[in-house]
Amino acid sequence: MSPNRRIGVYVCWCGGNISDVVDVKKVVEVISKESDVVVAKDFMFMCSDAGQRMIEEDVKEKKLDAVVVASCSPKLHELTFRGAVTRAGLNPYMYYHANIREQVSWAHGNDPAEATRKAIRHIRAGVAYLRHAEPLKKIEVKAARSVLIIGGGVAGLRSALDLSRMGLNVYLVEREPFVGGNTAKLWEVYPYKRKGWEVIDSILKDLLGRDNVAIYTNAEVRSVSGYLGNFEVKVEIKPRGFRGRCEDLERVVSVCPIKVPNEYDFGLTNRCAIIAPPYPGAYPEIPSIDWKNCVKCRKCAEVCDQIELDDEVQTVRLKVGAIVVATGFRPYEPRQGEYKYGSSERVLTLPQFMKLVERSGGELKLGNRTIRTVVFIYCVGSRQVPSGDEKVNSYCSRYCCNAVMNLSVRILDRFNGLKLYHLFRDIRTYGKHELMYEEACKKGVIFIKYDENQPPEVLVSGKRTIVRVRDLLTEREELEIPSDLVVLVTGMEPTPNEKLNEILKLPIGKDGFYQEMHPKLKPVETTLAGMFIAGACQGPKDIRESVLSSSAAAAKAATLVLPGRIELEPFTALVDPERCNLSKRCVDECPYGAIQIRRYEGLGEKAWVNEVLCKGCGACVAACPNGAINIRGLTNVQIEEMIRAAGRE
Amino acid sequence: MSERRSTVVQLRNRSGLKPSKENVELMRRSKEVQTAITKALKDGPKTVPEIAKATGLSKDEIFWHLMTMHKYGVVEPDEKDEAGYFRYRLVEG
Amino acid sequence: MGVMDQILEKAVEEEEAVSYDVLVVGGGIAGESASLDLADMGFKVLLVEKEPSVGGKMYLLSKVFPTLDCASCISTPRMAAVSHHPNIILHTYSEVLEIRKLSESDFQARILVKPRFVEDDCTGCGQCEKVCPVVVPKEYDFGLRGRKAAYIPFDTAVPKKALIDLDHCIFCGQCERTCPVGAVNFLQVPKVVKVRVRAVLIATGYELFSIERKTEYGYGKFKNVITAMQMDRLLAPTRPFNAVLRPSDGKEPSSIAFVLCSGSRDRTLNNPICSQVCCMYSVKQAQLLMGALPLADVTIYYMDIRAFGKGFEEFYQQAKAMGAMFVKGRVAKIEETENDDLVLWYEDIENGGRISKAVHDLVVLSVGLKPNSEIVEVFKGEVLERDELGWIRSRDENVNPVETSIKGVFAAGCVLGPKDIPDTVLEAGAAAAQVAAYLNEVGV
Repeated sequence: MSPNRRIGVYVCWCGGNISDVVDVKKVVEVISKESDVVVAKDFMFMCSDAGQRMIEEDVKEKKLDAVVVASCSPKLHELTFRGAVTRAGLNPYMYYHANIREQVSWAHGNDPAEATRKAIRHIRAGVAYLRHAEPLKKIEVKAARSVLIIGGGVAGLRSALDLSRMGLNVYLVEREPFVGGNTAKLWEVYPYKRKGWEVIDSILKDLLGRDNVAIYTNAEVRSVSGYLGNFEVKVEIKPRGFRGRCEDLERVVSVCPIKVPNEYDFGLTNRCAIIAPPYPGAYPEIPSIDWKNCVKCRKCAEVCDQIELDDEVQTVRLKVGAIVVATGFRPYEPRQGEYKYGSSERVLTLPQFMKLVERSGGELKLGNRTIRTVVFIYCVGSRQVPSGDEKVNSYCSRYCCNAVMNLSVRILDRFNGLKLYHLFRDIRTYGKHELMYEEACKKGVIFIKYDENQPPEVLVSGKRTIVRVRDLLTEREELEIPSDLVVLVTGMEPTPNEKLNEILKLPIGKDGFYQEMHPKLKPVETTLAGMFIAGACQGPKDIRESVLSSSAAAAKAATLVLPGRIELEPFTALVDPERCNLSKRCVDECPYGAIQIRRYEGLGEKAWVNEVLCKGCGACVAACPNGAINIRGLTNVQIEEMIRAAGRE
Repeated sequence: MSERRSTVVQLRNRSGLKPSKENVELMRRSKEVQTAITKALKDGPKTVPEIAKATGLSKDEIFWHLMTMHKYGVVEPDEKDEAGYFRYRLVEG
Repeated sequence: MGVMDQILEKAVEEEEAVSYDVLVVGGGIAGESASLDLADMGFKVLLVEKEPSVGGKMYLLSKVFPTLDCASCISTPRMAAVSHHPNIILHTYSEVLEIRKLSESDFQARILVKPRFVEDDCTGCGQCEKVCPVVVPKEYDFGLRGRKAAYIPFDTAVPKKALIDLDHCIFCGQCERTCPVGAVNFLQVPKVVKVRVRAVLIATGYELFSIERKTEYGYGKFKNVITAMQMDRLLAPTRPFNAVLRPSDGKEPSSIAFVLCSGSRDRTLNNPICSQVCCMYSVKQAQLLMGALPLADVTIYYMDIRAFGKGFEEFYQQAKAMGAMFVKGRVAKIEETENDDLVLWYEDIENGGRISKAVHDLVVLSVGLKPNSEIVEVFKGEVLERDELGWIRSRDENVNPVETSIKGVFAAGCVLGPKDIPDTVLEAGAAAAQVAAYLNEVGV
């Protein structure tokens, strides 16, 4: 039998989130009569300093030896209250967190009486748990003082620089042959006139040559094992196909027979299977073979002695304490025929148009035709209205209004006689970006608001392109705008990462982007301990916002691995060797390879759990025919007693 | 202990501080309004317009003090009338 | 000169300087988050907050978009955490008077610690507040109800200790006689502490736009024209009224209007920029109001709905589906009727731009944000730069937005520009990373 406990129970109102449904006063009244419960109280915000202080004082004054708090999800505040009981002198595991918000008040808002009864059952189970609880100690393990960053765009590079400056070893893995991501491909980026690659360059300048940074390009993560503080990572690196710089790259490129869309200008032109450094300051500064498209005709090798087409894929094994995922976004690719995209060469996406502008000299030209009128259609691939079962991007892509406004102002400065029409739904130049909108208005951009249910139409006949739209600002008058070019203001989609997603198993939100643990409390953390998300892979962001989130991810990764050791939760399996009859079923069942057979003094060979590898999943507990295994902090006795208590009338 | 109790007197003596006219007026007015509200509620719960009728004070001033009295546990809301006004009553004791 | 100012003039200057790794100015969600990150990395943090409690503006809110978490549930534990962390020293009710850069990674700061006139023995029981006879408008409820001259800032304040507002005190001594632990002490004196720090982080946040300046809207004159911050208080669990009621007479409103861009996107008020949060908090309040007052109509007068962040667009669509009315048009003028209702004159843009009017019984002005950046004035020697509108200037908006014009001085949160809570928390994390990187590079 368990010793007599002195348990305190604290029921939180959650400022109404709980108390509007659950009759907290009644809960306290019923629970205070429970055996072993010495004190039961309610409070508006138990997690506030005042609430925590109340618990601490009670523990000391009433000599409590265990505490139940009934409040929100343990994900939110279990650690908060473990901290409070620890300060009061208790072992942090003499604590039970009953979730009566997500599991009770929010789930049963329509039935207060039953919700109140359910809250009582939850708390009774918690009291039963604590009757059989024992103090536990965290498991301390060494942590590798190094971080893996997946993705070498602006977010990944920023994280890498920050972590390196903080004194940690950094490994950056980039799938493409060059770092820089989407940012490096952009022309002048708001809010100033610097080009995307210049932003990348100013980070790279600081990053390259640091002795605690390794950058792998043409590289992909193949497997990740281990746990927080001690991840083992296998990275595969494709060869570049070049030993060094090429004397006459232009000639080499000209002999290659391959033609594929050039991703470095968003498919505006074609390139061959040799990818030259696509912008000034690109890293690495040597070209790379595009192995996916190369047919190994070896014509290039005939004209350049730096080319080596038979190098093998290399594998690198890394040990890191934390992982930052910064895989970014992919610009929305309009469907074939969406606003005549793909069928008319006079319909481009916003990134393609940026490239066109960058290439143009004194005159804005498409082919040899001078462009005078441009119609921009907003929200292409964003804020899509659901129809039927089709999967749509219902989210706003955040950066596009700002980007198109900036671009419009810049081209009006640069080219004479341009006429720009913006067909929008809402202008979302939030914050200081409003000034760009103001400037665009001043410069004579014409704004036409369209209804999402009556989107504009692009009509192409011969050499004429006309955009037909109903203007909400002039009583839905139908307008026909002859245009030289239609630019689809395309949004962001998550980068397709099927293989990586299988390896990491990061949670993905409804919008397809990686899901943070909590948008405010834990915006770069994920449910996987030690794995962080940075930049646009979490959701659409501009450069500034990507950089901020990657620095934030760097801060979180650093707090974890800087000390060089990590404390793991003690909820691991424990074998009672006297009861073990060596069925070895646990060894087979354990998904983490954490159970071995060992010789015990005086008992012979029995099962043994490596608590560093054990995740406390309980598979072995269920498999053991003798009931010889228990999970610390969640023993069979505790589970049985909790069920009994919860079921009691 | 007795010395501690007189810190306000010591401060006044030492620095010659006197309560300002504005603050005394603030105190006087809130006392006046709150007394009037309390008196009006003695014969049963009332809405703000009803208290206004009984006291002749303006509705917004009454409501502001009523809510302050609510904060300090002097009054509490009763049921709501059809026009959307709560009645308030004095907390017993 | 107020009584408090006279007392503060006699502050005692402490000689001995204490050293910390970083001084964080501002104890709102940005300052708290950055302090906790830095403290977790092992740095010694001095956190200075000018108000009597940490928490900034976030804990005053009801629920927060787009997840509708209650703001207190998210912010109060962080407030508690900064007061418990062994690597954080917290000075509330304190002001930074001067920051001087002596050399790289060596700053000297002087901090005024104001007297609360209540000793640390205070248990926060609230007896002093009960007996105090002076009632003044409560700042934390934006004047919607009163507080006493002796008061506890709010229920979940950190520290939860009383203070005496000497500027409104009549020196009756009631509080002192009543305090059960004898904590009231009118003889407390202010002190100025000197500190040496290796880096500085500015997180002083924002102020609400003073919408009295837009006289056409009648704020301050018409009782039932309130700010959105006041509406958030009305919806919060610690609400000043017993329900959502209008201030003129305590009636439950049946038709509520939101006027977006009040004091934002408005050159005539010298605030041409968008405040970035008003659309979403209005959409949120509309949703909460439809829950609290199922029979009430909610109308939002807007120019553009800027639902740009993660989950925002979906949240906006949800409000529309719940029945909130969205009217595109700028409100030109508000008038009051005899029974305290309000007439809104607006340009009905989607119906040909004609001037229309509508009557509501409560009007919420979705006011914008202004920088709270006066802190730049305490910097001696080097200049901490601001932009034309008063926000702290980033050294490079895209490469490292949290670096300022002074090396070793960083900024995070709304002092850099208006932003919502998720972006503020990210910026705080980013600032922690930059401070840590800087401190590691400059060495001890």
